[in-house]
Amino acid sequence: MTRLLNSHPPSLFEASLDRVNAGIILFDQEGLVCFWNHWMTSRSRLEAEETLGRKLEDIFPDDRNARLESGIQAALHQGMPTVLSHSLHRRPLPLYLGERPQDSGKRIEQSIIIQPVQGNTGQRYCLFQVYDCTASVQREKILRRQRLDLQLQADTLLEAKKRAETANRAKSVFLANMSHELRTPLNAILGFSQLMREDETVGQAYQQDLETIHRSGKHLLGLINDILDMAKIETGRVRLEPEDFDLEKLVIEVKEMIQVAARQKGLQLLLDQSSQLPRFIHGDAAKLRQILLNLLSNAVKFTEKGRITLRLDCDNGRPDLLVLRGEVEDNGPGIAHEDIDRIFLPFEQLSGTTSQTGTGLGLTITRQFVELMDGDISVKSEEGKGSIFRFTIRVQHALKEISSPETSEGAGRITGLEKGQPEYRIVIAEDQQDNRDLLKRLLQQAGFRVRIAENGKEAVALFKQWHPHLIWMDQRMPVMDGYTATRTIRQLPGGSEVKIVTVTASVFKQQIAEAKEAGSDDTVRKPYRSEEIYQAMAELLGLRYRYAEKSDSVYGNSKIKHEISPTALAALPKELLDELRSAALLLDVEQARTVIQQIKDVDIESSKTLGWLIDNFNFKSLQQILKE
Amino acid sequence: MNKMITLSEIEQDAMVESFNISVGRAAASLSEMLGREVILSIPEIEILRRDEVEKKVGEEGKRDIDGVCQQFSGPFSGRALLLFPAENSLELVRILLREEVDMAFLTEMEEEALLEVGNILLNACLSNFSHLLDHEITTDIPSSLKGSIHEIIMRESEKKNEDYVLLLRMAFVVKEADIAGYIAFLMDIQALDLFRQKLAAYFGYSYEIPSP
Repeated sequence: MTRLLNSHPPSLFEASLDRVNAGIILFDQEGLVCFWNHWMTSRSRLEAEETLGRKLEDIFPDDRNARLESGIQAALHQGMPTVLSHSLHRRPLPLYLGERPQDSGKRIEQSIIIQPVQGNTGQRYCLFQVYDCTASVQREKILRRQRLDLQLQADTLLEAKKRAETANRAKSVFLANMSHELRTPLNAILGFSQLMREDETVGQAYQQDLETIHRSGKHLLGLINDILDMAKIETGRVRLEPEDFDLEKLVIEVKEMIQVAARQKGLQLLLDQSSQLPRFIHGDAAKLRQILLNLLSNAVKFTEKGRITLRLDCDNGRPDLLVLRGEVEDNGPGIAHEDIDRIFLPFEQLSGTTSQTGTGLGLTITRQFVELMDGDISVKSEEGKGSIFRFTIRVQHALKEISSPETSEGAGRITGLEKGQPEYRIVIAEDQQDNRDLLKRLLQQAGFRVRIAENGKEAVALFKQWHPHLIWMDQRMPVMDGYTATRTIRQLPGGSEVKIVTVTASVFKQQIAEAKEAGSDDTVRKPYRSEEIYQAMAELLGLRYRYAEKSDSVYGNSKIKHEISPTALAALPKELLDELRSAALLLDVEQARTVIQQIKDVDIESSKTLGWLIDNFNFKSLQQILKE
Repeated sequence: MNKMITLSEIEQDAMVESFNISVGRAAASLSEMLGREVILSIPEIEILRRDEVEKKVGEEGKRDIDGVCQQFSGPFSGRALLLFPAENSLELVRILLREEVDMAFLTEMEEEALLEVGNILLNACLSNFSHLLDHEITTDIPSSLKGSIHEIIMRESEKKNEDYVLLLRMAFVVKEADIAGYIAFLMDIQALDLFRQKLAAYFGYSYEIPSP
């Protein structure tokens, strides 16, 4: 028991203080201990009797602490309290938990409060309280460790996210570059093969080879476009681009495109359209076309014999909404039950199918486009009997009736400019020789004067010196790119009058906006068709072309009927038919052409069909027709 | 309505000088304790009526703060406050404690450390009062405060009808971090007059007690 002011036996207050669960020491005005409670004894291993009448620094000579000493002084002489926080002082006094210091070894964590107290005799004492905050410290340690772990986890996740984003960006950039790299040479392949197909001096023997080159090139372009579509879908860059369009015309075009492949395999292609179907609708024509093309070409690809049917219907009960329903049915091999769920997944092609061509992305893209148009797509199939793909999409009624102008494609090959027009000076700014040559050929063929710039800087110089009417400006060039050149020219005198058309191999819409911002009048994407080039110039310069007669061109043969009715055939002079029959039997192309030239005078339509058969070396069909 | 109080130039200088001395002492004891340089400076002292505080502390006054309050008594009594915007007090404590893991708030242990810093600073200022008045001023143990500066001052001063606030804006410089806070003394008018009178006597300029 402690002595407080020598009272004996201890007062109630002394006894209470002795039992407080904290260290309590009282110092008298001289700074000598006059009370030392039980808690202090058990932690310091010093009995009260050993401490009474001594100064703190004498009791713990090895642990002198200026703050403790000055705190006691401030309380006694200034009446000011002192707080010693655990964080700033840790374990100032040699206090231990457990029976002996050597057992636990470690001092307890402490926080200390030193306060003045006024005794009833007016004398001032100093109350010294010690608290054990080991538990709080422990708790806080755990809290901090958890916090650190969380922070590390968050950092790791953030780092992983950053890496993934960087990789994804790199992928997008890579794809944009690849699109450019792949489409640029393809432009030359498609362009030159088309030019040669139109060239009468190229022997008929080569026409079929050229046809093959051209068709393969187009096929390759289709594959590249599939991959790019997929990349755009994956990077979330696909947007709907709705417009008013002629649905009927779109369906006919799609049918014509598929018809060629279907006929080659001897398949029947049927179109069943509801009379409810409006001719003009408002929607994304390009994506609808691709949906139809993908489903139909898939059907053609996997069907060996029989027929393919495209059915179109709609639900137009509401003025603000039009639900279009489509169905493509084939009687091909069908899809195994276990494969049905996989067919819309990217990069999946079903095993066991006879011909595996294409990227395997067609159906994935189709489904994405259908879903983009708020619709859905499903397939029903029975192995060995065929498949039906059904889809719905939501479109709208056309905002206004649109007239669909005949494209220049129907007008035949351009041989030059109509008379009475000025001589047009055109600059081609393009670093790639193949593409430069292609464009130059196209332009010279139509009678334009052409000069070449190999980069943007040369284009600017040529503009100053030659004052062209129009500049074909490639977007990507060394030294100075197309955008910079366009902006530079727009700043020069006369720079606002010249027409500038950007040529880009990028498929991203954003490029078009960038080109426009740079001051470009129009944008043409590679690979381009010659008609796109001619049409852009006709629109910008207001010029008129001279066209070759249709019949002297292989080109545009989609407009030629591929069959001759028996009545038309019967109406032709018998001697001409006999001559043609013998030419066909002898496989004499020259002779057949001479006869067809004569038939032309009697029946132009039939001569075209016959000419087309000869051009395609389709003597078998010719013989078949003439037999009857 | 209580009158507004403007300090004359000499009075302003006298206050800054006296607080600089005592705060300098506080900085020294902090430096010693932490084993690193701590510089404290007091650029501005103002006496404000309670209702002027809001305008004075402005936007800063609306931010959450961590503070320390110590009651004092002697020839006059009042409350001494140390006030830091919450993010500043976090930074201050962490620089002092060399904490490596940032928590979003002051932990129990950190709050206690802030209490000790407040205790050192406020004691230093109050012993300056005591010295100037040549009379002992005793204080209670510090307690923690939370809220906005404005809220705290209004709440604390209303408790005892202390209409005036002696507001010191103070900058803490520890290891290239600039941390600013306030020290505020909440007093009633008698206490304030007594303080100003003693200050004038100490520095040897005339000060008239305003007639009530």
